[in-house]
Amino acid sequence: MDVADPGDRLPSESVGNIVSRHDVSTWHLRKQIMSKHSFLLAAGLILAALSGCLAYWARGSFPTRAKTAATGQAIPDPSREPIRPVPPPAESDPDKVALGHRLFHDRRLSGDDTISCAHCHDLTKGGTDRLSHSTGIDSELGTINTPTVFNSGLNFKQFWDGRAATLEDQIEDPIHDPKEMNSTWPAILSKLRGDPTYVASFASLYPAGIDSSSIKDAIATFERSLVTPDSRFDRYLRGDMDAIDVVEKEGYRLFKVYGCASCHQGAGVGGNMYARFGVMANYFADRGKVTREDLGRFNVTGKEKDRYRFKVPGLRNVALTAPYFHDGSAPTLEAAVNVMAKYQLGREIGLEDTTRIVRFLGTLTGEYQGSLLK
Amino acid sequence: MTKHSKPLLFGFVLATILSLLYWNTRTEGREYYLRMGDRLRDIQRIDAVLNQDILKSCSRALGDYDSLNRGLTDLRESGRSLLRDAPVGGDIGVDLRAALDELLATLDEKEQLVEEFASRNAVIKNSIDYLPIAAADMAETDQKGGDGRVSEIANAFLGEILLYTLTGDSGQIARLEERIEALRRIAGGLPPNRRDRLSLLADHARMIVRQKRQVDSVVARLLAVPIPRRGTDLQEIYQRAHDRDLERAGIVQAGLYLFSIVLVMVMVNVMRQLRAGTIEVNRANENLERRVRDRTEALFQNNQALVQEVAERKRTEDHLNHAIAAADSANRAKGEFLANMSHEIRTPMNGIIGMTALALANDLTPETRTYLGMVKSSADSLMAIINDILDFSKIEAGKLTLDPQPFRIRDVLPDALEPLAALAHSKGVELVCRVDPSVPNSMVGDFGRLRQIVFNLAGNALKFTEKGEVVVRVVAGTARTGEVELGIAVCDTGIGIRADRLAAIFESFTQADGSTTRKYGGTGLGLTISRRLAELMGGRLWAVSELGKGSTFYLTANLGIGSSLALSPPPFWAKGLRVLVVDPNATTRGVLEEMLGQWRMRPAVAGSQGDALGELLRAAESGEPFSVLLLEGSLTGSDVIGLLERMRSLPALAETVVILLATVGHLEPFRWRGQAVSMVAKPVRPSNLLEAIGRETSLGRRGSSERPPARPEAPAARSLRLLLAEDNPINQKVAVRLLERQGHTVTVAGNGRIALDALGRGDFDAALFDVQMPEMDGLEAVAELRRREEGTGRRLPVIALTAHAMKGDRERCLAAGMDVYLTKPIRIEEIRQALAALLPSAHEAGDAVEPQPVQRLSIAGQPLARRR
Repeated sequence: MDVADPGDRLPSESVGNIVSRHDVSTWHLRKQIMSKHSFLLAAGLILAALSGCLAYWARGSFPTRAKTAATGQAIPDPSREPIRPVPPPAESDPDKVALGHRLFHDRRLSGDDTISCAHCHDLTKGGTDRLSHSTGIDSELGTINTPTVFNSGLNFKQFWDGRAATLEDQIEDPIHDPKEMNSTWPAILSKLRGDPTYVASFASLYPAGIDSSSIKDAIATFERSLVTPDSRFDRYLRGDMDAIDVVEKEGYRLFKVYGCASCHQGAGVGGNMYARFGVMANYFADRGKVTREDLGRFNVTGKEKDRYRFKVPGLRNVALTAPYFHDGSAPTLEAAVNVMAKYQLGREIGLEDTTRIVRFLGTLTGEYQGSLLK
Repeated sequence: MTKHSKPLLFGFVLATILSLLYWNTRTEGREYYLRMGDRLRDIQRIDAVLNQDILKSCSRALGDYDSLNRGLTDLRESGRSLLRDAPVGGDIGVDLRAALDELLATLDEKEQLVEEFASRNAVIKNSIDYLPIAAADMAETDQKGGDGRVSEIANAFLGEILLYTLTGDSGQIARLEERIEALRRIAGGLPPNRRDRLSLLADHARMIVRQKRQVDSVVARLLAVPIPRRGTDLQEIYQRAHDRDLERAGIVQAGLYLFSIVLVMVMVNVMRQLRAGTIEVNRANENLERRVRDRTEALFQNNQALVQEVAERKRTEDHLNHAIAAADSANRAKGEFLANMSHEIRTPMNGIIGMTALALANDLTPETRTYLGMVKSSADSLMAIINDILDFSKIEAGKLTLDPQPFRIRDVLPDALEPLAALAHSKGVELVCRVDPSVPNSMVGDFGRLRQIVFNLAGNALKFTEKGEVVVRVVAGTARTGEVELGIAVCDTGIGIRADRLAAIFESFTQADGSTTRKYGGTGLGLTISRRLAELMGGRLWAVSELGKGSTFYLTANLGIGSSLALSPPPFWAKGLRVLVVDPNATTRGVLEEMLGQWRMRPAVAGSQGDALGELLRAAESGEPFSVLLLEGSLTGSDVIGLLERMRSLPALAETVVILLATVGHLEPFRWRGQAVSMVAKPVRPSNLLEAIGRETSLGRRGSSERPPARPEAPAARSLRLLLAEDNPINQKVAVRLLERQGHTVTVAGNGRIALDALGRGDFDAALFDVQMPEMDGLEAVAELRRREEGTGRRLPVIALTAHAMKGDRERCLAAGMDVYLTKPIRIEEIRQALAALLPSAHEAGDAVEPQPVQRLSIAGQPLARRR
């Protein structure tokens, strides 16, 4: 391995994380480092070299930087970016997806035939109901903000506190929750078994016919099909440099520089780890009136270190799913970005940067069934 | 039994042992253990990759945690699949499950550590990313109003922190904590906006220092999670189990070898014994063969004799078969000949009858008229005989089938008996017909054949009755649902039949007394045919008789109940109407009284003119005069007139309406007080009587009208242009004359093609088509005609005329597009009715034909086709 290889862009990229050429203030910093603290520079070089070695070890070969001839702009290397394009949905039986779609919209899954899954996860409203707290059966107010059903298959766990490992397990809770659908499997099964069209559909797809596991499988299969590929940002990641504009590119850079991408990364731009809400300041003390739901993962594990710890929500289509946070307290993306900056970063980042980041977040809106989500 | 079951049992036991042994040697576990080994290696590989990814994340070479989650999911899936495929019981089952549970617990531990790592690592990353920004901010504020010293300190500190994140040297921690405290102290002395920035820098630095330690410890624990060891443990257990399986299989295999050797030896022994046995059997066989040869020779001798006898018998049998076949074919030929001949004879006979009828209609000398009359009656008799023979030969050949159609017996039975009424009238015998109220109004059956039987029975009765009455009674018995057992009794007051001849009369060509043939005529086939027809209808025909007093013939038949033609309720106006019936015959009086009673009228009866007058006067005095007087028309004319004169002289009876009951053709139109007196034909058809009463009393819906009496052969109200397609010149002439006498204009066509040409040229109201014609027959021509009419909206009424009278003819004709089906000989009354039905506007309403809306099928369904 030759660290001094001029084709090795990794060292400079790693340094770029610390000292960015586009950032005037950090440029300034770099000058100071170089002039007065040469040992720091050496440390940086060692850091870069080590990173390079690790990357080489991980990848097996050094990537070459691709450049477009016309603009000379760097094409993002998807494997190097913290965010990955949305993968295509897994191959699934279209009949099962259709059946799941029907079940997802069927109000008979609730105790009094009034609430369907789609009641809160409205596919025409970004997969949510756009309310801070959803209403369930008998207009009961829910205790937590409804997360979007779009790309829910990308989440490593389900629910804000990650208490369900799979989409199938997730279905159990809202169905039995007395404030949500307030039903039972025997009640649902007797209703669906009385419907000859369901009996026929299930008989052709599941050897066991209509039972709780086949219903859950159909719904989960449908939900896994709800991926939103081909957002403008994904096109950018794939090399279409004009897919997002200058301001949005700057927003993305800030998103990475300010550390947002530490948690909001991966294909789902989040949804693959837990994080404490309020790292640099205590959000809940500031907000007041702590409820059970605010305890987050503590409710699942009972461990003190999990108090206020939540699944990091994915930011795909985030522009469509206001209000934000598990308590639905942020009515706009600007408000949400500011809260994140304050409690996760410990500072205010200013109106301009907030706007740029929000502009970038807008590029994460993808397509469902060939048309842009609205 | 025991002799066979022993080796069978032995074989079964052998087979069981063998298959058991073989089954146990199968080392199908091998595949399983190989697969499990692969999976364990997979787990170890995935675990290694996961550890790599964790280190990469640590050193920021990996930007996202998706791959960590993927690795965990794969590990969990592999672990679960191992558990799914693990054997439940057995000596290894327990060990294996325990080890697998341990593996899964270890995986859970790993998962939790990975989660913790991701959270903490993100925080460090966040803070490391932020440090340069914080330092730059400090530098910026320093430039604006500070001395640069603070930012210098901050930058120096930044370097140390970054170095620490790389080395992770725990010895540095205490020093770094000190530096952070120092920074805080410096911050305390600064103006607020710079103080905040420096504090934030210190906060992030502390976050890095603390979390770095945590992350390092988490990573160390992560890498120490003993998944590879668990895998190795499991591998060992699988290996152990596999070895044990192999060992057991080896033992069983050895057993199988041993058993096979024993088996081979047993087989060899058995073979040897078999060989010895075979030799002995061969010797015994030779003995046996010799004996058999001797016996066979003796048998052969006997056989020779037998063969000769069999041959002879066979010859005889062949002869017999030939004879039977010849007889059968002769019989069949006879039957066919008869059927054909009858048909061939009928054509010229129709000519004779038709022409004679035409001749009789002209002005003739009495002598000629007498001769022609005899010709006519002879021809009629001959026709009847021919028809009987045709029917009989059909029955004999089994070719006679019934043709069920719905019919209303109350309407059609009097019609059927009408031809006999004239004969009865001339002999002075009363012919009465009574249908019991229990009989359904509409039934489904072959009424043509039913009529044939009743006509035959009533005709016979009349033939052998010189005075008194012939009564036809119809009753209904219960049968299965939807069916009715119809009973018809024909009772006469004639000469009677001797008891010992009663059975013989139903035999072919027989009459009660051989000598009567000459006096009464007839073929003697009628009753035979009638009985066979009754049996075809699921019924019987029998007779009881008393010599000198009379006979009664009983007929039963199973018929369907029609649904569409329900008995209509009596009209409202009939209720309580006072009617006096005057008839010398008690039976007729009874029948009429019952009929009127069914309509809820209040009838009274009188047997003579005198009694009638008495009743009339008594009723008038009591203030309830009779509204209607039903007067038997055959009371001598003067008597009737006398009665009417008396009635006129009594003002109380001025309102009484008079209706005459008369036999058709035996009553001149009768006028009284300048008005035609209304007449009703006997035997009385209920609907006709009710209609006449309604009309005459002006109570019925139809107003009174001056109508000719009974049912005359009145000319049609409108002259029609008709086309006749008929190839036989005699039939042409007969038909043309009959139709022209009705006032119609007739164009004749010799075959179907000519007819179609004529129809194309001229304008016709209706057409009559013979079926059998040269060049183009009637069916073809009418089918073509219907094709041409398609889309024009026109439909020419077509009547089929055929001499065939065979089963299926009607269906063929109707299918070809004809509207009505009539059989030859041509009967003008039938044609008149058919034309009236097809062209209702051409006839007066309220005529013999019901003025219903004309439907092709209902017309075709009515028994217009008389097949005798």
